[in-house]
Amino acid sequence: MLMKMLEAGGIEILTDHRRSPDTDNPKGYYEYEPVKDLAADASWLRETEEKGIKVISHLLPYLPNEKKYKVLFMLRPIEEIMASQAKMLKHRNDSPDAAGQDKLARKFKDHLYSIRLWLARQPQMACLFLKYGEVIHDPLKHAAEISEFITKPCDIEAMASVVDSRLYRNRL
Amino acid sequence: MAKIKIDDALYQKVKTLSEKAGYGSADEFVAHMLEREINYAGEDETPNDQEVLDRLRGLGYIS
Repeated sequence: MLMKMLEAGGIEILTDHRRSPDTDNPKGYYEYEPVKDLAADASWLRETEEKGIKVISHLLPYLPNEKKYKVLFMLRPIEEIMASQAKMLKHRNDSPDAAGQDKLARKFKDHLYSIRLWLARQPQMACLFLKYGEVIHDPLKHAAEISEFITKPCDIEAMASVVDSRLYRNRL
Repeated sequence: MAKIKIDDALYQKVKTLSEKAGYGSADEFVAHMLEREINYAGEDETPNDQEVLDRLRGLGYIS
C-alpha cells in the first residue's frame, strides 16, 4: 500500500515487477530482487538516489551507512501480520505449523522492538512510523505527512486515492 | 493497571528513546521492553533466528 501511495504521489519506485499480482496482493508487488540479497551485495544502491525501495525491516541493518535514508516504517499488529502471512503461505501450498505460530509471533514482535531501537540510534536514517490501520482510516492526512517527511512535493490526493480499505482483510 | 516508579532522569531517557523509536507513549515502549525481557529470561534464543528467516524466505522476502 505504501509503495503504491508513493508511486501515485510521483515518487520513482525501484521495482522489477517480477512478482505478478495475485490474490494476496491484487494490486501488485513492489519488490526489487536485489533487495533480497542486500546482506551479500548492496553495491546496486549507488544508483538509487531519490527513489523509493521496499526493504523489509530485517534487512534494514544491511543498508550501507554512508548514505542517508528516509525510512517509512509501517506498523501493524503482529496478529494481523501473522494472519496475513499464513494466508499467503496457504496460497503457496505451504501451510504453516499452527502450533509454532505463537512462538513465531513472539519472535517477530521481538524483532520489531529491536529494529525500532536500532533505527532510533542510526543518524543516517530518519524514520517516520505509520500505523497501517490509521493510514487506511485517514489516507489524506497521512499522505500529507509522508510528503512533508520525504521533503518531496507529492500529489497528495493521488496518494490518498490508491488506499483501498477493502484490502484491509486481516483486521483483528 | 499497575504503576512502577522510576527515577525522573531515567524516565526522560526512556521517553526520548520511545519517541525516536516511534512508540505512541513511554508506557507502550516500557511494556514492550519488559515483555521481551521476561519472554526471553533464561532462554537461549535470539529474535532473528532461523525460524523467522525461514518464514521470510517462504514468503519470498529474502533469498
